Amino acid sequence: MSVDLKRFHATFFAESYKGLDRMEADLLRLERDGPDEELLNSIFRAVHSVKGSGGSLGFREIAEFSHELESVLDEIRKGRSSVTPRTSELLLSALDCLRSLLRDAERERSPDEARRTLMKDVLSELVEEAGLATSKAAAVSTSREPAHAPGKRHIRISFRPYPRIFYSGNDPLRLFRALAELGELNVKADLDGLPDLRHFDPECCYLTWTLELRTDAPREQVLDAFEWVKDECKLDYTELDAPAVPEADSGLRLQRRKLERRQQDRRVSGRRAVDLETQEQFATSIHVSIEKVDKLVNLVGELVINRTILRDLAENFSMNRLEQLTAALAQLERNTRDLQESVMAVRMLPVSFVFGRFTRLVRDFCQSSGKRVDLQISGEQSELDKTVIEKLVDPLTHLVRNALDHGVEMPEVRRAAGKPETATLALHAQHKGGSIEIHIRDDGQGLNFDKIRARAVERGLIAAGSEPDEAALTEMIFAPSFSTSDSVSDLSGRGVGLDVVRRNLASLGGNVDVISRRGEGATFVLRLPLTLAILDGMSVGVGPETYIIPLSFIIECIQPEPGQAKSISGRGAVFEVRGEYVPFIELGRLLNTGGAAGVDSGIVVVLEAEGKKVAVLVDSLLSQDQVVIKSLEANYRKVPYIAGAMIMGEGKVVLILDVNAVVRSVRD
Amino acid sequence: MARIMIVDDVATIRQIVSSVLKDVGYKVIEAASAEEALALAEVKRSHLVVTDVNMPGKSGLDLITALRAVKTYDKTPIVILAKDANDENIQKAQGLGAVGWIAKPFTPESLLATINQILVDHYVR
Repeated sequence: MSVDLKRFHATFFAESYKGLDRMEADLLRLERDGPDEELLNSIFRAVHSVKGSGGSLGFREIAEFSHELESVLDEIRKGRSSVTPRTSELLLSALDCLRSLLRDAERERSPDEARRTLMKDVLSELVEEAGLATSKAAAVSTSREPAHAPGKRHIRISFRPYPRIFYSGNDPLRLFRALAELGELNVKADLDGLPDLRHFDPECCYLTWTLELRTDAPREQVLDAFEWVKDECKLDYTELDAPAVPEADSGLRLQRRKLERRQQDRRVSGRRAVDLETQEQFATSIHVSIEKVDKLVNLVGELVINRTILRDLAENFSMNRLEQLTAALAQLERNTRDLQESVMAVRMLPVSFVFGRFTRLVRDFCQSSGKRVDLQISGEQSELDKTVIEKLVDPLTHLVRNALDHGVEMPEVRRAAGKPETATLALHAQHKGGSIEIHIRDDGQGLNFDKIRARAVERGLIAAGSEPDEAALTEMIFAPSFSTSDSVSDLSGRGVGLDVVRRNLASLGGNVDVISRRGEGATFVLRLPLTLAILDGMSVGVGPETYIIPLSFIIECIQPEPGQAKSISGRGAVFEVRGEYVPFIELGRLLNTGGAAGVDSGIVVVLEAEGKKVAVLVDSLLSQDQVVIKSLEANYRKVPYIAGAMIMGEGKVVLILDVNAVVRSVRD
Repeated sequence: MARIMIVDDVATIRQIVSSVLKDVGYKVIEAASAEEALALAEVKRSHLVVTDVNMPGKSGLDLITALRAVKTYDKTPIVILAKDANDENIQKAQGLGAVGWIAKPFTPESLLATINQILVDHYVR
């Protein structure tokens, strides 16, 4: 019998990613709140599920890796091993490994060598940390003082217990403690005998030790300590004449430290690679609640009834049924609007999809930087269109990294400034009208205006002597490739500036603002439309053409009076709005539409985008509609000043104005 | 054709088991937890129950005990999904009345072979 297992892949990947996301949240909670049985069980189950289903689907590497990880977790869960900070660090790395294995399997490629090594390192260190945490601790505690007392004999003992030594009730640790009382003891455990986890028997002793003792106790007294175990081990007793050279010792230690650092680097870089990949990865399927689907089904049902009524009316129409027809059409309009809203609701996801990933990012940042940050998340249940959420990830990550890197100070600095050592980074989302607002607030040092001013001068953005106010300086941080970062750090400072953030948001019809108080922190506010697929627009007539202007950009519409529009020689025209002069654009001329009306007979629409206003002349205002955007690029080609197109009721294609581009045309 | 109940919190496993069994003509009912399985057991009989052990809420072992108290399930053969042959749950489950185990991960062939064998042992011989 042959079964095509491929049909289960989609379920497997979706389920596993979801499970691992939950596991990550659990691990972070474990680290914060300490072990808790239910938490450990839940973590164990996540790995167990991936192993079981991955293995059954023939993903060998996933099954093997999760099997080993599962064994470690089982030890921890059963209380045979404790959770040290290092363990949770390693578990998180292992989680990343598992994620990347899944991703590799999904793309039908095998993991590269670097990742394999990383996985092996993580696992073996986990085994060591989880299985042997106690003996390691003992080794550390007895070798803490390296100072050598003079005049003492230097003894080396090689202690190799038989595997079954525990059965006789002997504990090597107790023995070491007794030896440590005789003098200065240095214990080194040899881990070479350790089998892989699958073959690990917790009742078996796999370790051997080299003990170095500096003591004035006689040989008999030293060997006395081994009285109880001498039948259960191999013992080599050597008197070392030449005292150990401290330099060699420290050289060894140095080498080890280097090795450790290298391992650490590898881990970090490995994780970074994983981290970056996570960002490109977004589920192509979404989970939709039954409730939302039921509502859709109901609405479609009503639509079908409506169709029957209309068909009947069309077949047997007479003028006295006109009222019925109008009513049926009104019903149809209501139905389609409801249906449209419900279909859009299917695409809505909670913001927690993006916020969730920051818990880990902040934690990793704190570990590597020494800063202390408490991440507070609120309003994460606010829903947003899936496409908007996906496009939000990069700008938001950028701002969070910025806040951590440039906003939050080191604990010492904060203490000196009279602030709590642990900084607060708050992420908050809320709906406001047809858009969503996201606040990223830190209580760090705020924007450094002196630095910004200096940098602006350096970049030639302002003249050396000028004293722009804080609002103007704040605006400067959004200037192209402006960055005050002195060094390129892990997180921010990748050469991508806030200008990119602003531009990306603008392309979504959103914007970003910042409020900063020196010494008290900064708040970045992102505003975004809830969905990209539908917008409220104003149709305007320009000559024979109709265009749509997105409503969110329109500030006001004015019937121009003679003399309100003035042309300035060489610099285009301006339009006076209550004492303020705004650049003036004749849309017909900008878009090369013939037959447009002049200032005397047209209407002026004042638009604002990217913090700049423009006054745009059109022939007439036609109507206000909700429009469904179709991409012009995908169906035709890119047209300057046009963001997209929509299809009118009668099948006519109408172009949607790209207000950002129009505003930029003035600046250029 | 025999009806088989599969109980596992992991959707992938439920899907695999249920498709493999349906492909050869068995009827399958799925439950995502022991609680759901018990509710189903009240209204539907099965010829065989396949259950995972480690699930959130009631475990598979709890399920075995509880099923034995349901009149229509007091003799139904129960098979557990075990980690491997050394899984301590196998002993426990057998103590509670389970008739066999299938190691996870499994191949469709081994799954089917075990289930066929148990059904034959229980209902034919």
